[in-house]
Amino acid sequence: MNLFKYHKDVFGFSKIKFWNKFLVSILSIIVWLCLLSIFSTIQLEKTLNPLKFSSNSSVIIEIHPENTKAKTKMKVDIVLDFLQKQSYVAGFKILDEEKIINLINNFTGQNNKLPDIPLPVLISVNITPPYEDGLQSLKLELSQKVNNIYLDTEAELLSRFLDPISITKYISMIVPILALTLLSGTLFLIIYAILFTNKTFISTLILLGIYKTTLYIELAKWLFLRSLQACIIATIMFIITILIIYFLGIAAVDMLFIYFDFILYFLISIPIITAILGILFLRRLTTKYFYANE
Amino acid sequence: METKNLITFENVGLRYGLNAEVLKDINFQVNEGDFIFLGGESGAGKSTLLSLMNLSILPSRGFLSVLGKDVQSLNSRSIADIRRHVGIIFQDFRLINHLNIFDNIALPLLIENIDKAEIEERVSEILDWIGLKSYAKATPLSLSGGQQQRVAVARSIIKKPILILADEPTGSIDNQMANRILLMLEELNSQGMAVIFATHNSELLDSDKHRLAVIKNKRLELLR
Repeated sequence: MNLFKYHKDVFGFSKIKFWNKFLVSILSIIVWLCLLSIFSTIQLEKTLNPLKFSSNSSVIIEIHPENTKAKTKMKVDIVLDFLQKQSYVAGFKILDEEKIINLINNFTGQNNKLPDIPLPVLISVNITPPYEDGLQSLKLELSQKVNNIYLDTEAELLSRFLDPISITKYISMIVPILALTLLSGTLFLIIYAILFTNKTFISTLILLGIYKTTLYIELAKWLFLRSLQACIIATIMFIITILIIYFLGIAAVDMLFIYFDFILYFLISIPIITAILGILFLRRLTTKYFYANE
Repeated sequence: METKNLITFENVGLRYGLNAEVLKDINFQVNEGDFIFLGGESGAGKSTLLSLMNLSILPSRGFLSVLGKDVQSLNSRSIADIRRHVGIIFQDFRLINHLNIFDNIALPLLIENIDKAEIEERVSEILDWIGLKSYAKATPLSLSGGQQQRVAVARSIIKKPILILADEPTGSIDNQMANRILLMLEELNSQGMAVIFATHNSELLDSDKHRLAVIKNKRLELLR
């Protein structure tokens, strides 16, 4: 892949072999991690779809189970009857028990049957505008009618009833940010390392009268092309990863856990890689031939 | 005909931070067409004085002008512009090892974005002059010290500078090659280029051919 075919590499940055390989490798891994993070987040969002509502005129009524099923059913009937009579209720729907179980299974990452515990009943209610007025009326009137029920917006529900999933979701959103921070930090260190280890080269160019802007532009062009190369490699790696995931039939959430495990291994491997690179780097500094011998 | 003044030192002193001055009361002029040997023991300050001339460092006091410009008033672009008219030769050659000999010599022209055909012509001509035409595609590391220094000389003069600053150009090569380098610089001088030749080689300093300035006790003395 000779991207430099289209680039006039005046000062031979492309021939500083050590940094080219190092830069492309590190950038590829980071971009790959970013892509996986974004993919994982999207997958998790899909998993949460049953509880995701497109308009903010929705509210979820959560009815906690009573001692017996009959008592719970009675409470549900009272609520349904009440909802039917309210003018500000545009429509309502009881979420399937199966959906709730699936949701919990997805959250725990298990496919085995849940213990036989009573589940809450979730009723999704659409409220006619003005939404705030309807919500207040519903809260007030329903609390007078039935005890031990909760009215939640989607966010409230996620943060209370489905708290662990919410944390996972936010973690998966944080990972891309961390990866981007890592990317920026890596780029900064690499630029510093390039300038430091190539100071003879850089200082010679400066003493020969190169303008600083020209030097920076050349460096930026080189970095851009390396980054482009890394993105292409990372995309190929990402596609292969996704194909493997689907080929092995791994569920999206399972994949997420595998991914987090991988991140953990990645974080552990960073000090090891750094140590190895550090040794190589020192060897490079102390060796007579710093540049690649063409 | 009036000779043009290239470098002027007037009571120049240099110190690093709050330390004592490393160069004191330098009063010195370099004119167009001069050939000056700059002598002094190792560590006397020859390289430092050349660094002042190539604008790598600025004086702590006094007045210094290079190519007619007061160095205190220069920005980074003006400094680069001045350097484009000055050829610098280093003791350690400072060739770029990942570029071949041709590209190393062409570097100052590439920096100025000179036309490719002109680069080909000028570099070929100068390779012929230094006797290394057949090494155009070789890398610096495959050449001997003397050959590398000839390449360094070629690189420094490819743009036909008006001033050459040579920092111990014969320090890392044998006597025979040193004489050859000296002859090359003398030939360039005869074409009008001013040359400052820093060396501690007593044989060269004792020859009466050129002006001689020596750094002693942090001061510059003009002996010839």
